[in-house]
Amino acid sequence: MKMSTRQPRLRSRIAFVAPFAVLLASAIASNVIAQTTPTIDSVEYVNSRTGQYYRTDIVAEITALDRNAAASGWARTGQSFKVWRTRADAPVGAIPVAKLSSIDLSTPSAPKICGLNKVAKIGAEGSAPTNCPVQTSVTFVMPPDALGDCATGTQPVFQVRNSTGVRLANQLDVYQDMFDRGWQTDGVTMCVPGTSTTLDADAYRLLKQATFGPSEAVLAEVKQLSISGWVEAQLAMPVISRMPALVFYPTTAPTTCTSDGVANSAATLCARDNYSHFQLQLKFTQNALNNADQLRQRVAFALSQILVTSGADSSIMPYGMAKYQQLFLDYAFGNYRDLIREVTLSPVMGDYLNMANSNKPDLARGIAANENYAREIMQLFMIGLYELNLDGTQKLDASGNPIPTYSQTTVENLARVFTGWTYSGVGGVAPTRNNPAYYDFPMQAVQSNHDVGTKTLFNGFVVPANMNANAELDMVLNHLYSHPNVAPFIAKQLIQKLVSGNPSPAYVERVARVFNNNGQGVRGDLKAVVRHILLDQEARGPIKTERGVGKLKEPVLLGLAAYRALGGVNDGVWLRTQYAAMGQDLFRAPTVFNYYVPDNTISNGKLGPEFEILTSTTAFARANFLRNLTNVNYAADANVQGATGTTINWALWQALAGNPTALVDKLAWVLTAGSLSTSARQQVINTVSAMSTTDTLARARTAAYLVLNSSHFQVDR
Amino acid sequence: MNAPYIITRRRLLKSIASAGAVSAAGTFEGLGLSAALAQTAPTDYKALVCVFLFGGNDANNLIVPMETAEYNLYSTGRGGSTNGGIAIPSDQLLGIRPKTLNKAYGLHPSMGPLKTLFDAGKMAAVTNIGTLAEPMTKAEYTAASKLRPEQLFSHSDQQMQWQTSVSRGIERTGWGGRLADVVGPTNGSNFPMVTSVAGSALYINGNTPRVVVIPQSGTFGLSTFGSATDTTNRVNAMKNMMNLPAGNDFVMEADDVIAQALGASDLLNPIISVNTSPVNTHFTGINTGIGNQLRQVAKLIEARAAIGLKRQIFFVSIGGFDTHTNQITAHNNLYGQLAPALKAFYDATVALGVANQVTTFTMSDFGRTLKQASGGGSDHGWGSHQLVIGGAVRGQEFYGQFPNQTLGGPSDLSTNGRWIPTTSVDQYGATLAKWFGVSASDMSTVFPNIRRFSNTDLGFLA
Repeated sequence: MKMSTRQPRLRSRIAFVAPFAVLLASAIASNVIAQTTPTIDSVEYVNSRTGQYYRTDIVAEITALDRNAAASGWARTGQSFKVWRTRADAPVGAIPVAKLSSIDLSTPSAPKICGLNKVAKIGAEGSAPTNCPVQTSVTFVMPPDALGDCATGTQPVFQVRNSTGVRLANQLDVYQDMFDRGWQTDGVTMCVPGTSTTLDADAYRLLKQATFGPSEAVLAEVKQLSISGWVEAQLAMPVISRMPALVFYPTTAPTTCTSDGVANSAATLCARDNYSHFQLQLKFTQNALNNADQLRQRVAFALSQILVTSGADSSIMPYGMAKYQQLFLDYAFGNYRDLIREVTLSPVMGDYLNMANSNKPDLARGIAANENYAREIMQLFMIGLYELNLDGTQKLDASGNPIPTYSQTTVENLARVFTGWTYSGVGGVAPTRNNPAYYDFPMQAVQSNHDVGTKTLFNGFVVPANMNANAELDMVLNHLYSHPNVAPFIAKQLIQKLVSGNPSPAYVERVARVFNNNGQGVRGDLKAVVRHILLDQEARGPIKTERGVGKLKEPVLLGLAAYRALGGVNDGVWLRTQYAAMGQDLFRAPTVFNYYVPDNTISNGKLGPEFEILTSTTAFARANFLRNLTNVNYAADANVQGATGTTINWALWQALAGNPTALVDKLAWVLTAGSLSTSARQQVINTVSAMSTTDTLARARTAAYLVLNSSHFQVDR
Repeated sequence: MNAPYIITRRRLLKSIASAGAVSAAGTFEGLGLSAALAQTAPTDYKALVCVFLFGGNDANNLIVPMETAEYNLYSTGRGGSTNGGIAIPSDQLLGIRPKTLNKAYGLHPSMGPLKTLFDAGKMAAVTNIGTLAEPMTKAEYTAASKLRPEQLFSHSDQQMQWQTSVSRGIERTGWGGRLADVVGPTNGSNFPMVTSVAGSALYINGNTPRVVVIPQSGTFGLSTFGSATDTTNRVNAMKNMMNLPAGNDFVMEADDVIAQALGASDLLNPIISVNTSPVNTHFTGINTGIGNQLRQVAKLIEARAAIGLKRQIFFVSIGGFDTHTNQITAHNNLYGQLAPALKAFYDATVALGVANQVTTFTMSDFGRTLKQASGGGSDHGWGSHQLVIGGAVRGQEFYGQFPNQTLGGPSDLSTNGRWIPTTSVDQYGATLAKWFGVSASDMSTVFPNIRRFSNTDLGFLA
């Protein structure tokens, strides 16, 4: 657990003296001198008057700086760590670092820094004062491995730079803060003795990507299993989460299942459970809050936002939608080709995009085959509008224009492929003509309603005449699936929904390659795809300081992540009701284009899908949801079986409320794992500190509210 | 009372950066945003209200030709009025007679309130309008000798093209947003010039942050808790946090959205929360999404003095027009919501004394095939009809050409009744923009391809 003890005072103009340089090993080999303890302290100071930073590992300087703090303005920043005194003390492979400057405190109110050379000599003094002999030292650290990780028993030190010099920080939030201030981030440059919190931070990051939000309990699992071990365990876990088992009800509700205007009457509750998405939204929320198969659920949720159907289409019955959503849980780690077939023949999709009961063209009556599913399976579910490179970028023709993947003629031909399909008869009985909507079984074909003419699809592919509707469907799905766009098109969207809205083309390409071949020659293996998405170098690491990495928490994730982190009792009954006002009415997307489109851009042109539904209205809806989350205890609803109500256990947080710094640090860790910057954290601490010391509940709630509302929680990166 | 509106410094800097990025975006002819802004400060008040019909409205059943020969072509094309056909029986249509054409047409049976406006000269229709990169005939379409809009018949792309007026290439700003960019600097206030009551939309995105999104009902601001002092401190802390430097683009974007919302709420919340507004009476009994949205717009127009803007653009929408099946039922419902809401809004502007200063217009993804699709609906088409309403409208008229209703005929790009537009989105928008006060020299900034079209004022606004 990270517990920073003090905040450095940072100014907008920061001067700096670079105290360390990594030396060539050969240059100092003769300097090794036996010492009494294996490690010594390396302490960073900041001067409150000049904004200068200074780091030293010389005991005399540390003592002098601490003793003269009041007069000189030098104070510790908290970025202190140990380094090995000699090569012999350090593990094999250690590298030397040298301190190249000193500080003169002979006049405490006018401290001077001097260095070995002019580059290192920054400060008010024009030249090195004569009474400031440079005291050098050489100590040892370990280099990080190629991925920037530090070995067990060591902790990483992050380096930031700007034109004035270099800082070394062992705390992520400091690193984050300097990044926010525009310093260049160099990542982990050395490993020093200690226990790393960055592994925890990386694990937290993983849990933002692979679960509905980190919690202390799941964090412990990851630490025990390692990141890749935990991912494998998740991928191997069978389906735990189930959508509710709703039974058939007719499209037109019987009076016994129509709200009679009496609250909680049998008929009203029947209508709630069978003619609204109440039970689906509730079960989804409970599964996401509680069930162990988190990665499966996250992937299923992502797929359900690519292969979209919507309960906002009032003709679609909830018992059907429950089966449709279960497909994604069942196939989350399956094969995309298999999933596409299930989706195509799902009666819910058949209803939503009108493949159900689309008959062969009737020339006499001037009726054409319905084009809806034909268009959207290509545009949204399989290949997209334009030819793509493997890295997801558009191919361009000789004139520099994007190349369409298909034409209106293709759509019209494909529409005729998808003719003749209708709802199954009750109990799965084969249909003989167009059946009314019924969602308990996949659609089936009525050959006499199927267009048996030839059809020409993209790339000159011809479907021969007189094919059986079933055989033709598989042939054509194979054809669509053979398009090289499928891998980058689906890989990129999965990355966007799990890790980052704006993935680099190289990341997309690495995942697309796995989509095309899982290593055993299998294409479309979602298990392999998800594994690579999570373990890719662009996904891993304790913190990402690239400007364009990240994504806004979508509303469903915002609610779930807040509760999973803060804990307490939660039956999902209240939370279920909250998504819609924030712009994500669960299972009721406004159109087949989902709540937001994958190519929505933010103001600087980067891809930020979820930002499409972040407006001034929904921003308030989010803030006010968090206001209620932190302030209201929701009692159990007697009309929901097993309801417990929704309450956060504030006692845990009230215990810390006497010490605002400790309270905020703990919240910042649980909710943002080091990505809340020190400046943002200070705002929260100041606000809480100004509140009555006796009202610990108000303090805890205010601290949580502010951290939850900070963009460092709202954005996952 | 004119509350100051906060635009963060960072946001302004970003605006400049993004304006520079647009010219490199590979649009059809470039946006020419470096053109000098030639606007002069307006002294009167004017508002444009965009009503977007999401899903692709089948305007073939909104306005039906009723001269016998044309009606018969229409009815045949739609499979008649029985046995699953989607033609509207002529005896159900509401007869109208555009003055210049002087021929019989019929409005959809659910359009009664708008027939009143049409007959009173307060509404006009622009017929067979659609996305175009340049004018083209059927022969030119067939020969592919002219540039076609990209991805015709695709919802997302055609919505984008209607909203941007750019039909080739990716464009990140809408013509409503660019209109605000051009007019904004002379507009009397730095409050956002564009208000959406229908969420975010490409149409309203400009290069400068002039958009606020308000809810169609309820309050617009932070819910409070705790003591007054604690609340003040807490809200101030939030504002401070939103203005901290951020090294991550997504953090910065999220910061900016909430910071802007907090600024807008102080001014707008009291306006939209008031229950005693005189506009309410006009919306009595209209409890629909589109009605609620237009009521909010009317309330903001009522409060125009407090807001301090001389020019405003509003965006509202209604969805559900993707009528692949069961179109007859769906249209009765949708038009049954749309028509009373538009009439109530017009009446409210009359009551506020601004009927001549507010122009309402429709847009939609595309028209639909005249030929019916399996299941009693129609498929994605192209050219369509749009409505323009307001005191400044030269009403009781059709503007543009009415499509020939013959399947496979001169208006049909193929055989299913997809009309090749004879009027472009650019021309439609430029006519509205000219009335709004955009100078001729700024017109190509808002509509980069307008010079592809000879007639830039369709004449429907006085």
